[in-house]
Formats: sequence, structure tokens, C-alpha cells
Amino acid sequence: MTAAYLWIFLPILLGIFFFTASRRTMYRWGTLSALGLAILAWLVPLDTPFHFAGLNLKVSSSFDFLGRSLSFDKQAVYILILLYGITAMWFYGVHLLQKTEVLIPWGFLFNGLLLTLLTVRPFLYAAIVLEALGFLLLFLLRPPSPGILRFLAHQTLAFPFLLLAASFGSEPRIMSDAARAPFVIALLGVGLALSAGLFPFHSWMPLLGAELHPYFASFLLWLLPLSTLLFTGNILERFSLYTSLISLFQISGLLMILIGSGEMLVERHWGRALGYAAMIETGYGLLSLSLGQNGHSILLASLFPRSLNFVLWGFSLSILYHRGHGLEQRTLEGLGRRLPFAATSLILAIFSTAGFPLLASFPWRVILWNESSTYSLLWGLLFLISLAGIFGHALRTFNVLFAMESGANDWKQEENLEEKILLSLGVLFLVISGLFPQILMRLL
Amino acid sequence: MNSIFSWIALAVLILSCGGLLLARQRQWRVAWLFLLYIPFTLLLSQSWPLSMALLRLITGWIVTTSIAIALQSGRGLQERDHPFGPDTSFFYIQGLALLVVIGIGATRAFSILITPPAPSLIGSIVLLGSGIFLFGFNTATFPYLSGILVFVNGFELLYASVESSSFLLFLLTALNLLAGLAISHHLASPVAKGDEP
Repeated sequence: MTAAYLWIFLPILLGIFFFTASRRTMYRWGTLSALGLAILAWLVPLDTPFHFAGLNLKVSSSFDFLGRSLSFDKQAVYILILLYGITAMWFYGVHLLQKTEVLIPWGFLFNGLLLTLLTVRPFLYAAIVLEALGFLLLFLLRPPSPGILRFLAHQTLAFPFLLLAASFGSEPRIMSDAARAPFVIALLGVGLALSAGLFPFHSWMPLLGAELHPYFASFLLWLLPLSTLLFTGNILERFSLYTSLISLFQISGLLMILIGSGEMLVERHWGRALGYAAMIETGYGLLSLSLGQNGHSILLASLFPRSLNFVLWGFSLSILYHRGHGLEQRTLEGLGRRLPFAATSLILAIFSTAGFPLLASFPWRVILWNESSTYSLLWGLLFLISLAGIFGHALRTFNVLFAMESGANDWKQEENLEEKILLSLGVLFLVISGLFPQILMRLL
Repeated sequence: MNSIFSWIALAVLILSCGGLLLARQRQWRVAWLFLLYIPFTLLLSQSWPLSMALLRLITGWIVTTSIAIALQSGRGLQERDHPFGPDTSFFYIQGLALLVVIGIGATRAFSILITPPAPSLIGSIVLLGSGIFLFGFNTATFPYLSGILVFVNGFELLYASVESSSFLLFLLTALNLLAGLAISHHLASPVAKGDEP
């Protein structure tokens, strides 16, 4: 048995199976399967024999195929626990929201591809897997949304650059040649900029947020930038070109968080605002990567709070969307008085993204702010301004949702019990991971 | 002799790209795409073993056939696509000529890193450029996605001189089939109300 069978091929097969399953089977077995895969990843040691039900078993970390391999290292195992754990949360939310069940089969397929992307060796083939992910997205929508088409176009343009750069970069003969090395760095820089959606190639994120159902949009805006960011981190880790690209990531990351938070502040469509949140998170991810090896660890550790923010944001926004019949600000005015749990969860998810104290992202934003300020005081100030933009959006959301005419007293609780429990659990997780970040650090 | 064949293949490839760019009716676009895979395979066989190149020809034809069937079933074969950018044939002919010139110029520049046969390199640049023209100036699904397919094929031609492993062939074949399926999926079925997530 190899790890690839368990966490890549099995989820892909499950995804294909769930296309034919009923809605109830989908969400129950989908959630249980994703949770089971996460627990298995936690418990099963790789490359070490163990006893189970009287049998001697061993799960090999590497799967070889046509002279290439899919290898799971410690970092990949951490990501897969996180990936399937968070995916189980997404899947569970499906049964409370209408027309979202198709997320389960696609979720399994995308997870399988994301893990292929992270574990394939030699690493250069990951660019082709990312392109395949773009083509798979086309099956989601008819007609294809401009956001998805743009994502596909960016990945298509990126993959020649990445494949050539990775191919030449792994040849010491070329990289030792002073004349050729800058050419390879330029190829890599352009490829990563297009692939990871660096400024100005980020436009697909707000487009996707505006076009899709908010639950789908938040799932994709969580998964796709996560894939491209982890891909970027992995590709940089394997090259000795790290220092050459630090400035590119710093400048682009800072521009992304500043422009994203500025746009978010004035945005009146909350789906697009979600897209800007993904853009901002990508910016923070790039800033983390620009800190070198230490930054890569910060990026990995911040994946859990980032994922939690998106799950809670997507779920609460979807509840508001269904009851408010749209995502335009005017259609959601005063909805917080009818749906206080969803409204409060949404506001807290936005506050958490802004790095509000005691919430999930706070410790990681502080670390990143500290590192940015050490680099330059101006950078530290700009970092704070970006947080202020998200903070402003959270305050405006609060104002819109709880806007009340004077004298009016029409408070209700229209969420059902299950929605209330899920939203409360989400908020609880948000607070716990903000209060005890050391638990995550120990996992790493 | 081999060299003459590859130059002839390049000429047919340029002709096919021209046809793809200039055609407005979808059935003609499919026909040009079908033809394009013949010179593409001949140029690919300069870097790869013939058996591998032939497999790509079959894959390309499967993709084109699936698109044609999808268009036929979706009754979109007779439809016309108009680019939102420049709509004059002269613009595309100029663009194609420019791509050929860039391709010829690139034969020297690329020799620093890779040394593909000149017709393959020029052919790949023509394909890459034509792909960008198609998806850069179109919002309609079919020309946009066929542009992406042509771009991917252009890169395959370029990358064939760097690597010729069976694993790469497997990945590229799978990618092309997936692209063909995705395009066909869009063209075959009409949009049902409330179908989108």
C-alpha cells in the first residue's frame, strides 16, 4: 500500500462515485470519507510497519510510475490532514444549503489533484497538473464564467514558463552558467506571477466571487489560491534562486494586500469582496514566502486560520445570500436582525482576516507585521494600512447588517438549530485557534 | 529529404493556423483544427520517436472529433463567432506573418538554452501566437478554448526537444483529452435554467 493510493487515487475514485450518488448519501458519506482520510493521515505512520486488526501493514510514502514518483514528505502529510479536515467542514455545510451538493464530488477531485501537484517528483510536472485543474474547473459552470476562463488562461500562459524554468533550473550545467541563469530566473518569475495570481494577474479572484454561489466561490477561492501558493512555495524551496525572487514577492505581495483591502473597503458586492479577501490572503502568503525558510513555516502554520476564515465566511454569507436573495449590499440591509448568528459569524470571519486580537489569524498577522517592520518601517506601516482596509469592510458589514430604523424592534432568529450550532462551532474554533496558536505550531 | 518534409509540414501548419484565425464559422474552425494535427505530428516526430508522435496525432483527432460531435449535437456547428477585438482578416494575416518572423528570429535566441529543429521552433511559436490571438480576442467559448488548446500544442512542440519521456507523453495526452472533454461538455449541452451553482 502506498500513500498515493489512500490520499490521491481513492479520493479521485470517491469523487467519481459521488457524481452518481444521492444528495443525502453525498453529504453524509462525503463528510465521513473526508474526515476519515484526515484521521488516517494523522494516525498512520509512513514507511513504518504497524499492526491493524491482526495484520501487518506498511504504507509507503512513495508511489513510482513510469520512472517518476508521488512522494509524501512530512510537510505533505501536514497539508493533507489540514486539507481533508477542512474539506470535511465544507462538505458538512452542503446539506444546509441548496444547490451546492455538486461541491462534494468536485471537492474530492480537486483535493486529489492538489495533492498530486504537491507530491509529484520531479516537481516540474506540477505545472501540468495545475493546468489540468484549470480545465477541470470548466465542468463546473455552463457557460463558463469569465473568472474561471481567466484562471485557465493564466495557468495556460504560466505553464510553459514554469516547465521550462524547472527543467533548466534542475540542470546544474545551465544554472552554473552566469549568462543563462538570469534567463531561467526571468522564466520562473513570469511563470509564478501568472500562476499564483500576483498583481496584476489577480483579476480572476473577484470575478469568481461575483459570479458563483458564495459557498462555491468561497470553496474555490480557498482552494485555488492555496494550490498556487503552495506550488509557489514548493518550487522556490527546490531552487537555489530564492534570493533573486524575494523582491518580486515582497513588492507584489504588498501591492496585493494594499489594492485588495482598498477595493474591499469600497466594494458593494459582497461576493466580489470575498474575491478581494482571497487576493489579500495571497498577498500575505507571498509576503510570508519572501521571508525565506522561516516564512515558509509561517505560511504553512497560517493555513489553518486562513481556511477557517474562509469556511465561516462562505457558510455565513451563503445563509445570508439565500435569505437576502443576492449579494448586493442593498439586498442585505438589516438582515442581521433576522439572522443574527450568520451575521455575527460573517463579521467575526472578516475581523479575523483583518487580524483582530483573539481571533484565528491574529498571531500570524502579528508575526508577519513584526517581520515587515523589521525590514522597513514604511513596510510595517503599509501592512497596518492594509489591515485597516479589511477592518473598515468589517465595520461596514456590521453597519449594513444591523442597520435599524429608529424605534424599530424586529429582532428574530430565522436560522435553524443546526445552522446555529455550526456557526457557533465555527466561531468557537476561530477563538480557540487565536488563543492557542501553539497547538498548531506543535503540529508543524 | 527529411528536412524538406518538415518545411512543408511547417507551411501546412501556418496555413492551418491562418484558417483557424480567419474562419468565423465553427465547422471550418473544427476542420482546420483537424488538419492542424497532421503537420503538428510531423514536426513533433523530429524530436520524438514516430510512435509517440503518432499517439499525439490520434489524441488530437479524438479531441477534434469529440468537439465536432459536441457541436453537432448542440446544433452549434453552423454558428459564427466574432472576435471582440479587431475583426479584419488583414489584421490576422499581419499577425501570422509577424509570428513567422519572430519564429525565424527565435531560432538563434533559443539556441542558448535549447536547440530544437528550426521548423519545429517556428511552428511552435506560430501555434503559441495563434493560440494567444484566439483566446485574447474572443469571449465566445469555442474560439477561446480552442485558442487555449492550440497554445498548449504549441508549447508541446517546443518542449518536445527538451524531454521525450513516456511519462511526459502520458501527462500531455491526458491533458489534451481533458481539454477536449471540457470543451465538448460546454458545446454539447444547452444551459438549463438554474443549472449553474
